[in-house]
Amino acid sequence: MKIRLRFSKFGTMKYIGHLDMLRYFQKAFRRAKVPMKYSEGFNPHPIMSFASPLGVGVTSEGEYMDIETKVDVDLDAMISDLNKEMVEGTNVLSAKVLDDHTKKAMAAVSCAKYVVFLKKNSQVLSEVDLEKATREFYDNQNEIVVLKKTKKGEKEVDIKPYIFMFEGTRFQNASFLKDLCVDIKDEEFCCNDDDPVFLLQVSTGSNDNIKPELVMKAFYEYLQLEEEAVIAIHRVELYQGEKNQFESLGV
Amino acid sequence: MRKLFLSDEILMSVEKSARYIGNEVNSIKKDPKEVDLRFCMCFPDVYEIGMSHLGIQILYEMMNRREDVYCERVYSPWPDLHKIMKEKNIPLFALETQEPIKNFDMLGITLQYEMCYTNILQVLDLSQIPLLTKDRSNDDPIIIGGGPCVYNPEPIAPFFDILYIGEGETSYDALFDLYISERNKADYNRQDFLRKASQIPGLYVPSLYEVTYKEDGTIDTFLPIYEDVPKTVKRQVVVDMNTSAYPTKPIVPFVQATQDRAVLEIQRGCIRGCRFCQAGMIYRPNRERSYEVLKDYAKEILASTGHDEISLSSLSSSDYTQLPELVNFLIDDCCKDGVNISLPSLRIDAFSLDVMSKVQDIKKSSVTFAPEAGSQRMRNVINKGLTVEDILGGAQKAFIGGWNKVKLYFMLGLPSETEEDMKAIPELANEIAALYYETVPKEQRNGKCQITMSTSFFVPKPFTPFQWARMYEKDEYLHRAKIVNDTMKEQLNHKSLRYQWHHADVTVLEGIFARGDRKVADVILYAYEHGQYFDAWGEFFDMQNWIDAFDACGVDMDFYIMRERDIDEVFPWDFIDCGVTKKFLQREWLRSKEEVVTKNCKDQCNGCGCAEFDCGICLR
Repeated sequence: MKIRLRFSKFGTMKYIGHLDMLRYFQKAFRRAKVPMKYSEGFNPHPIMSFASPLGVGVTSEGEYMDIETKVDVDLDAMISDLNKEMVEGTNVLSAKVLDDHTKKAMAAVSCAKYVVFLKKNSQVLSEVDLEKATREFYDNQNEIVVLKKTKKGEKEVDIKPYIFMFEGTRFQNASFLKDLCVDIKDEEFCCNDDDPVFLLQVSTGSNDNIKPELVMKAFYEYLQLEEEAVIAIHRVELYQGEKNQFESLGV
Repeated sequence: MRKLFLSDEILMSVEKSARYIGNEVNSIKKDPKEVDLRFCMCFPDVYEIGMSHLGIQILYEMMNRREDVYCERVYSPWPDLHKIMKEKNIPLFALETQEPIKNFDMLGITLQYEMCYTNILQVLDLSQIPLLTKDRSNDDPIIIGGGPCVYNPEPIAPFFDILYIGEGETSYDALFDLYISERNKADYNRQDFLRKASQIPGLYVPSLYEVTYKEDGTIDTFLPIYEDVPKTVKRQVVVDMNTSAYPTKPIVPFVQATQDRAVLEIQRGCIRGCRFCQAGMIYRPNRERSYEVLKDYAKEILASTGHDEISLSSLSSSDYTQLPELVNFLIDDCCKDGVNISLPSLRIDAFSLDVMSKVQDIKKSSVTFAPEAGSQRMRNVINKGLTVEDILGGAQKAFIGGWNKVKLYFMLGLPSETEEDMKAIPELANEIAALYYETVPKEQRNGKCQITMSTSFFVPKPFTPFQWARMYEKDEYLHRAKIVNDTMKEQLNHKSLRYQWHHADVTVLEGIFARGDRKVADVILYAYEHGQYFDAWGEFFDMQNWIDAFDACGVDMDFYIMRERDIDEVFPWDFIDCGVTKKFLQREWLRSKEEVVTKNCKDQCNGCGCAEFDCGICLR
């Protein structure tokens, strides 16, 4: 049976790298006695793949993983068994059965939504009208050119086609925060009412992967303000499909 | 939600920050306010190395079974974090509660190899605990050392309050009980506590002993300064391996540990009596854990960890009585659903080749022999009971079975080694290669065979028959490696041979630490204070810094390396009653000079002295 899981990663687990997460889940599946399907050969490994690697330091409530089991399983029981084997900071949120024709999450993913918080007591944007500034930065510019690191060095790239949404506001006005599963009040980036917060949707996947940090850098450059060192990034959701028709990878 | 001790800013700026966050699967959570004694267990190397060590997991399990004790863990911060902690004056903290170690009652440091000695000081320094026992006050934790290096604790004696000699399972309860009762007294005094602790079996309190030296630099007297402090310290031994604590829910790290697998300790000690081998002496007598107990442990550990590999731990797995039963059980009952079995240190014979062909890909794997010496003469000197017939016979079976890669492990610089002995190493490898071409017809060959020789340089260790032996200077070791390399090139099958040798600088330093006395402690302190740590890591080891440290402290390296010891010399470690007697070791040293072999413990008791522990192989 092919299954897609959605899970969250928060708190101290945000320091666990992608490959370590893979190993962590492999072991959790065994502890929870999920009847995983294994590859052939002398070093069989369970058939599983993450939709999109999450950078170290980034929290998320929109992580997806496709797995395959040897026999059919009851999804609710599997979720509950798995969550008993998880440490604080990872939670399996939901699961759905995939039909044989469904594209793997890793191949299908095309877009990610992020919330970006600034570090506590940040002053640089305190005088800026964020709604207006983000509109001008995103809607009024025809192109957003940044220096992007490549294998050969750096080159200028227009990232505007890969940004699908960019909004900034103050914490108290950020209605989108109400829908988050992870209790952001617990996180280190916990904000005051008038601290800035941003909502982004950017291209994600094997081609044209845009990190939210890069968009923020361009934003600061546009405002001619000094970039702030520490921001906290929270991934909200992953999508598949084309621009204007994005749909959630999950359930 | 758990709070971390380091800020997000710091954690995001260092490599592998997951080393410092704790919260691993199966790590123990207790309320520190509910316990009487807070212990922090330390492996003074980086997290991935320390987390691979079985001993700490055993003691962690054992100590945390006590409701009044909370045992946590700490490892050496990598140099990137070390620098930040020094700069910002951040104290070192334990992984579980993320609280500074300086507020703990005890810090236990395991000493698995000599090259970690500077990291002892790193851990104390970052913890903001005085480096020397004499400078510590009532409020500092009690610093305890343990592990194989404490069989000569003298080069590090001034850094420790207590050194625990032997297996940790036996005396910690008595130490904890004593501490809890003393610490609750209004007039608690560290010195009084240590003096009382020195009377617990196996505990050595170095500050309670005084050493005097002869004019030639060797030890004259080594005596306790009070009458109630024992003259000798007896090594502690677990008598019953089936009832002693074992971690069936070991911690599963997030960061991949060097040994990322379930481990079954099938036995302690070794029956073989190789004369160079410290482990073969200091863990006597050989004690097996029963097959029935191991079966349960294997199932429990795999279920509680989710590991996809299980491995056997012992000094010589082939000597375990019920090995075929155990291995078949693991293959039949555990090795499904993607669980692999890894089998280290097996003697190559029909049985082991059959097992290996079931659990490994023959094309990719190799068979390994550890003849340790190239010539039969030399193997008699070191009492390695492996003959050229054993090696060639095993290799031939392996070639017929489809293997074409062989690994061979040797030592250079063994006592009485001649040029012939050195040349015998590549000659043996050549013979094995020739055997491959004789045994396997051309059309069945999968390319050339590949015979890889590795040599390490021999370091004499305390409580071995070779504790009297001399060592050599760096250039002499490299000269010997060159003889091997040159001789290899002359061999008929040289295109099938490969040769690797170790660095010689580290060997020399390891030799000084292994048999050093208290004077060496000054050098280690000086080297740490001048920037040396993580010496076990090639990229941080700097021999010139060490040479400067010896010069600055006026300690002569050659005194420790270049001298063959007089048969009656008082060694720094003579105050330890290891079970194996000095008389037995002297006899073995003389027999090695006569090139006479000594039988293993299964065939004959040789009266080493360990029968008094009254357990294991000695009861048979």
